[in-house]
Amino acid sequence: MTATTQASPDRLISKRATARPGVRGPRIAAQYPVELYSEGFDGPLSARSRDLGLRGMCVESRSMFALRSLKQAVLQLPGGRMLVEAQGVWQRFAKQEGAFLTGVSFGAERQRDTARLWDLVVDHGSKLARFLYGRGDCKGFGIEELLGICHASRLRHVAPGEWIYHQSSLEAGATSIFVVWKGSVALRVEAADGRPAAFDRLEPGRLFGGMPLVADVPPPESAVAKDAVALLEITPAVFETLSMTKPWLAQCLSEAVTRVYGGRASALLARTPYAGAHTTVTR
Amino acid sequence: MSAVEAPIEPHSTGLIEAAAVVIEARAAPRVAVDFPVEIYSTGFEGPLPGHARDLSVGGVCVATRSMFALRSVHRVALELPDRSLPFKAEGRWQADSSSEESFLSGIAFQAPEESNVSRLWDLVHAAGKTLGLFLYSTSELSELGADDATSIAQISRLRRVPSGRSIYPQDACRPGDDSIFVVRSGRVNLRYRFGPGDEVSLLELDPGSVFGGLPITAGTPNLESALAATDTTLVDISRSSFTYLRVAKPLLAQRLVQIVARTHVRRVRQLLAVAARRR
Repeated sequence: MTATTQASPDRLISKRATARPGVRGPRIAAQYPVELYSEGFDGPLSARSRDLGLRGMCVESRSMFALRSLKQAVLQLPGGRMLVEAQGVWQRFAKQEGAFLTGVSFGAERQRDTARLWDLVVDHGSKLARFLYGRGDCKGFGIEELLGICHASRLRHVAPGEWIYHQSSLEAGATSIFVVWKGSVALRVEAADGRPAAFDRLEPGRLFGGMPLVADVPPPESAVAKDAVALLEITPAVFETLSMTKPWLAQCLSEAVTRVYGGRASALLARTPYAGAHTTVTR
Repeated sequence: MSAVEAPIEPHSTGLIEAAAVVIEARAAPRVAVDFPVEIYSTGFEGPLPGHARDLSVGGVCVATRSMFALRSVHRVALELPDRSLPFKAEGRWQADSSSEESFLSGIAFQAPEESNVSRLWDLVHAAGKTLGLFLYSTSELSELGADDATSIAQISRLRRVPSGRSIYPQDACRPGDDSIFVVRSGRVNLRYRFGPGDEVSLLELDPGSVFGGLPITAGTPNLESALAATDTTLVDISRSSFTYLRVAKPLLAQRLVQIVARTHVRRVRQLLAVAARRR
């Protein structure tokens, strides 16, 4: 365990044992307009969903609001509006995106709404999995695994030129596993002498990040959006929950993250100038 | 692979059946050991000398200099420091171990007497305890804790590699080259080849160091090559052992993946530093 790591394995296990119930159950990375109704303000507060499940969603809004005052939410879903009783569960500021993310739990289930959400989650997950199937770094995944990934991910938009994470920095949002859904991402690695090298350029279907989760090390490279990018994000909380509830999937993800990183490292090293026949010893 | 198991193909049947096969094949703990063994066969007059590489209550894995006909094996004697322990036996499988310059054979004990079962039980227990303590107290696996270190000890095999001999080549993925290794004694040299004859020595590893394992934990070849800098003994966690962990102890498997991946990132960082000096 290095001094720069974020969590010891023991802490990881205890965190896993208390993983938030809110991240259990399938959800989909989906962006729908949402109106939030709260006691604190007269009209609705505009927001948009980042992920949506049967029992709740994550919404992005430009301003904060009092979690306790949230009463209802209206989702603009394909096929019409849906009004749900809503409760605020958690809230945080996503610095890189300049937005507030709020976890919203739905109130008492109505069978009709459940059926509609069920169809939406299952169909959208299937569509997303189909998009990833056989594409980029997702080639090695089976259909079940892809569905598992799609049902565990959240959408993240990144503006052109914005950093997704920086090498060696464990800031919030920098430790997730990402799959490029739309747009392209550049990876750069800075060598010990400070000189940067292009690591890879990623198109839809390519996987990156996640080494902090998988190897308990800070990000070994930096990632920046080359244009408007949409990412599927598997957050640390979700990964920890997967490790308990779907260990096989967590292992597949770990394997993929390490394999992809290893492949990029090998490709970068292969571009290193050949110095002729000799042997050097480094310490 | 233990002495009594067939090679595991986890994807060859349904997932549940495959899991059952994997768990059943590892019903008994098997521990890395190192003591002389004599194999008796109808194919040769005297005993064939070998060395035990792992031991369970059900059988033993033996390294020998030459191959022999598995079917002709009828007896095996474990040459322990205080006595010889003979068993009726049956050969089960055989494989080449190139880094050891030997052949490995799985030999199952046939209907051992109750007193011998107790003796085997004690041997496995003692070897597991000793190796578990080493892994827990002095190796890079110590962060796993005592329980998990013991679990690792109970799926391990010993490998002896003479000085100067390759453990695995760069970009290796072959069975036997793909294990996770812990240096038990001696020293291991890790090297990276940029081109023909253009090789850097990255690191010398002391006892307790973890290396290799990328093929089984990430499905990708090892980045570097490894060779024994001195006569070396390794604790070998093979692909089939790791498959067992993935099924039976998934959290432990994941923590092992974490250690291997972290080690890998460290090596890449070192290599990039070397590469940067060349640009």
